[in-house]
Amino acid sequence: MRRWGLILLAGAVLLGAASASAQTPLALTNFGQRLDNEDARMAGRGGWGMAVEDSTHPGFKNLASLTAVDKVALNFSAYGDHTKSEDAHGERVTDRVFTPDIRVALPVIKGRMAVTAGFVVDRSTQYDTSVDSTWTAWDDTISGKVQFLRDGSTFRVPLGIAFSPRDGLSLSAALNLQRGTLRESFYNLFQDPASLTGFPLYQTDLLVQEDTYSGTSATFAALLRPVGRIRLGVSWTPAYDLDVDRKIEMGGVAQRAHDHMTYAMPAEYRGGLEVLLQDRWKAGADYQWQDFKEFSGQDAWAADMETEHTLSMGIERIRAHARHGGWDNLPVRLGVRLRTWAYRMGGNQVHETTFSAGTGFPFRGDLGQLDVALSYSMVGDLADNGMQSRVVRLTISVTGLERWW
Amino acid sequence: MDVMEHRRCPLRTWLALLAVLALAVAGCTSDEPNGVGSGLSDLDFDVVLAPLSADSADGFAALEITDPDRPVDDQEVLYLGQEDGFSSSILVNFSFDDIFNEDHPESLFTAENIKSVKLSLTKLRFYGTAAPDSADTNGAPVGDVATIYYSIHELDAPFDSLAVPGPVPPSDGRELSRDPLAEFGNEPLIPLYEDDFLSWLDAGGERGFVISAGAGSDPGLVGFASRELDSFGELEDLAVGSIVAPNLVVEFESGEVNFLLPPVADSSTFDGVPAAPTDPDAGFVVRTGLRSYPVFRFDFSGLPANVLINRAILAVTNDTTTSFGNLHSLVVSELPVDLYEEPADTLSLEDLAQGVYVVTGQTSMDPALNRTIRFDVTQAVQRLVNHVYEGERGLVITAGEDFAPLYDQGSIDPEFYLSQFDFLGFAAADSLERPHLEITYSLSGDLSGEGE
Repeated sequence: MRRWGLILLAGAVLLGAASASAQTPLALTNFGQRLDNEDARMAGRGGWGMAVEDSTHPGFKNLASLTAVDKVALNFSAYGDHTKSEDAHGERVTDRVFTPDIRVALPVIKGRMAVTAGFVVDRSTQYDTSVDSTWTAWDDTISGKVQFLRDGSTFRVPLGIAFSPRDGLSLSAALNLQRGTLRESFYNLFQDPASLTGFPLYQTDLLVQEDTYSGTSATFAALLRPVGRIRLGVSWTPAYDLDVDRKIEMGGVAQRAHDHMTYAMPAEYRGGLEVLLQDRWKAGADYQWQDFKEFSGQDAWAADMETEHTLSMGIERIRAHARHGGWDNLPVRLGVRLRTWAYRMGGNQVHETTFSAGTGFPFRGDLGQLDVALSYSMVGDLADNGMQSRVVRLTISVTGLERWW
Repeated sequence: MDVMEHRRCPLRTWLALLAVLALAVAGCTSDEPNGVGSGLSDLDFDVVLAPLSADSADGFAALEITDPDRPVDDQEVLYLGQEDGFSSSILVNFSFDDIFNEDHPESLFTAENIKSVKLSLTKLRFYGTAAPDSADTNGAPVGDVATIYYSIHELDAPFDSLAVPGPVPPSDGRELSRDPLAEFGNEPLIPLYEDDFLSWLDAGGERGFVISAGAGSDPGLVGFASRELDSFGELEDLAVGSIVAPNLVVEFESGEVNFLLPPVADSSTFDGVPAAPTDPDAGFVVRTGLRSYPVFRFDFSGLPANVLINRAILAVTNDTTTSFGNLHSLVVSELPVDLYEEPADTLSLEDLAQGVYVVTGQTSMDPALNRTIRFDVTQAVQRLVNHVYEGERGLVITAGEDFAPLYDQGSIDPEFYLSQFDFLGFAAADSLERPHLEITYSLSGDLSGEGE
């Protein structure tokens, strides 16, 4: 159990590092940015993992794969972003740390059945802007700043079960508790004139809109092994409703406005392929598709909604156990991901291209692994979208295994 | 296949590496927010810093404030003279029973041995002990020095402390002062007739006197120390052994130390006190000494619902040509309307203190100098338009009372000096000089509908 204490400590370190500051300004509107919440192993090879089946290194992207787990598995993932964003106003460099994924899997019948739970952040928006401005009132010319802050995320708590009715086929079903908040704060800071003690003479305008999401969705998945070297994985999340409670407050004003909306979330489909190549190499690809043109519930967004789809491809050289193998024993992962966002910016689709590489380090006795991935993403285009971001990301995952029975 | 036998790093090593990496990334500092990404917000204010002048009142009251703990005859200052409709004389009761002592035996009090008998008064520093328009040695402003012809009469009976303020009690009409124009200075000595003093001694008992500002005196109210005075900082330096209250001073030919006879009672008459205006169109007053404070309910109907008050200034115009008195703090507080009746009412100081919620104030306001006085009442107006209270509230202007410690400067309470700020009313010729609220507000359409 000492190992578990250390793994939990690792989780605490990652959670403690989640003092996020800012991401891309393209997330300042609509649903925000879809997060790459895979663990670092998948992130290093471009994100594919729907067809993974590994008893010592479980992948949680397709819950049907968890029937292979024969130990209790706990996985934490976190990443740090270094983002350079640019638009007509100039440039800004931001950094943030985020913990999008925490998972646990428990084998019930080894090789046949497992249960799982977790915490997964699907979408996030976090950015702030500040623009110098002036106003006039009475005989005063007032100078200050207009600031906007958007901060929030949608996350789910998947409670799932995986079952293998026969060799070569695994099925899973998960109930996802969909939750989240999105808080927008708009400030007019009237900084000057000020009193002798430094307090501005004009009170700051503050308008806060907070959306609280709640809903339930289900995800059904399957993992197939039709032939020896090929695995296929698919999942389907049917369309579901997301209830949105909106509260609007203005600083200093006692009255609040409340609204309630229902977001009709479109169904999401995923599919993946894994092929075992020569020696230690394997290749794979995933495809994700969710047609947000079918989304409803927020009229202001309707004109900009798009079909979100993601293609993830990559190769992996799995780790070896050769005596004196040294660095040659380490896994090597390379990949690329192509994504079209769920909404348009500047009248055009937002494209995100990510190149990634990664490796991993096993723990003693093969009871876990630490994986790292480094990626470079190009999000948006200055000409098409009016802004763009370039993101360097370090993703770290810790997977721990323990024989509980 | 080889089994794995090569050395692996222990878990703690990886965790340490993980922590270092995580903290290194977490420690990176982002650029300060700038214009990148601006303009994407759907959230905005529909109205920003809109001006609105609220220059009419829904209600008004002139509040007379009483202080049972400090009745007029118990005040520290005695007022003499006439000003702006006020008039006051000084009432003094002396007892001539058992006045002799070891230093001043009865044998000294003969017509041959008494050199002079004078009535001594002690003037407060503010009312001037030097040339007009000068400053005292501390640099504090002083009022003009008024020329006073002191007129003294004996009352038909000692005055009754329960009858003040009120008309001057009847007297026999005979002038007791030998020289009504006493010299300038902080201790005017008014010469009396020695025979009168000897007759009072012979008759014994308690006698009442009234000291008035006689014909030819300059207009103006002048304050003198009463027997209750303990704010000695308001006096010029005095000789050791001085009695600050009105007292009789007997000088002897035989060279003995002067005999000082203190009063057994003293008071201002305040026989003329103008009523505070109850029609705010005609003006309103803030009065100390005999406290009178105005309270307003402004008309906020010009404000849209659910606005954010960026700034609200209560601006009032003081008529410096008629206002008089010492420097005072002026304090604006909220006061529940159900505590008083419009357009005039009387409240005890304690009830006022328990009812107010202090908003803001200005210190060292000079009635004769500060014409436009502005108070920042932003938070109060925000509360009023938010309807956060049950029932209505008005804005009351008071002096620096104990319930407003930020503005209660020094040891002098507002009942000490009789001062009055005469403010222009809602019908003032110049609209900018009418009392009004300069409100600046912002509004979001998202909150202009129904709220909770």
